[in-house]
Amino acid sequence: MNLIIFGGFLGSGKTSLILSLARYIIEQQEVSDKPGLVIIENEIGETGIDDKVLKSGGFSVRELFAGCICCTLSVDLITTINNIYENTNPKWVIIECTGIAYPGMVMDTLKQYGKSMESIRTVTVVDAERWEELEDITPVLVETQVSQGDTLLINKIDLISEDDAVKVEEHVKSINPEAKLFKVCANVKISDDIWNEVLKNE
Amino acid sequence: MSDSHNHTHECTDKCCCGHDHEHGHEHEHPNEMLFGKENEVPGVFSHSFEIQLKEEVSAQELSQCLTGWLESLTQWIKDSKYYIGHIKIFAEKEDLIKLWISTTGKQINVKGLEACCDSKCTDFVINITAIVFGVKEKVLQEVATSSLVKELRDRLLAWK
Repeated sequence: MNLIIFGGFLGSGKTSLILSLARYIIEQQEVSDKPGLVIIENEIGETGIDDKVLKSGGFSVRELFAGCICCTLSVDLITTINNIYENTNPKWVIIECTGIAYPGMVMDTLKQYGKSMESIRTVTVVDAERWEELEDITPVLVETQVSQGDTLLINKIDLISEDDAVKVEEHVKSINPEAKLFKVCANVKISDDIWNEVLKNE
Repeated sequence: MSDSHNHTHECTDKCCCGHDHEHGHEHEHPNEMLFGKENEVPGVFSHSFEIQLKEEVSAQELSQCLTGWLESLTQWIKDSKYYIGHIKIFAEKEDLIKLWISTTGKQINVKGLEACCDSKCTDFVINITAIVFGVKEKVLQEVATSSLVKELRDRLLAWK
């Protein structure tokens, strides 16, 4: 299985981008018996919201609610991953973290205890519209999320000026110069080239 | 509704400033790791309301009502100087109506209305998760619930 961990602050657009990536993965898959994709949805509240968005898109979704998979629900995450491997063994698994999770901690747990993972990578979604205020209010969280992304998607680029977009990009690049970086707007079709880069095995 | 928010006093066990000193939902990160400068913990309110109205409403009317609720809640949060992580609402009536409404305190986004705009219902479920920094979970719950009831007002037959 190939795992993609989506991290990024609350409301940054993770679910919308996952929907886009999920559609791309399904479009690309060849006709075979092996299922293409399972999505694991983690929500800190007891009530699921985003899982219903993904299910209504026709995707297979497993829920982990009322906690955070980078700490309190880490055991549940491993159980779920191993269960998915044993019962479904899809080519891709997308994991949506809560907005206050550290994707690096999720990756560490999976590397240590997960079964049969061909690859694992993180995508951090940055809220361009709120980046400055989030830097002020929760700097440790948002900067750590950025630093732990293999790919950074600066989202909501349509809601800020060109000058502000440049500032956000420069700041994010300074935190994580090694990551692939793309500016996106989740409300419009994401270029296939971007998803190809996210899915590419290095 | 809360008075203006005071960041300057020393908080004690008996403090009723609205700061959430104990987090009801499980997350083990120490505060410094999570919130750097402000050391604030988000209040999380997550609930499913079962609503019964006196008369049918259309999906459009329901959407307007829920948007009004969200606007009212968002305004209270801003007036109280708290900070919205996100607020997400999912309203459904079986396969007839599915509406998603969300905000980070900026614009309010509505999805799903086109697919059910002609549908009507008298009863439905509203799922909400609100993650707000600086507020006690119980306070958030009370304000969110009372503002929903206020928004539905004369139309409401029963709810739980």
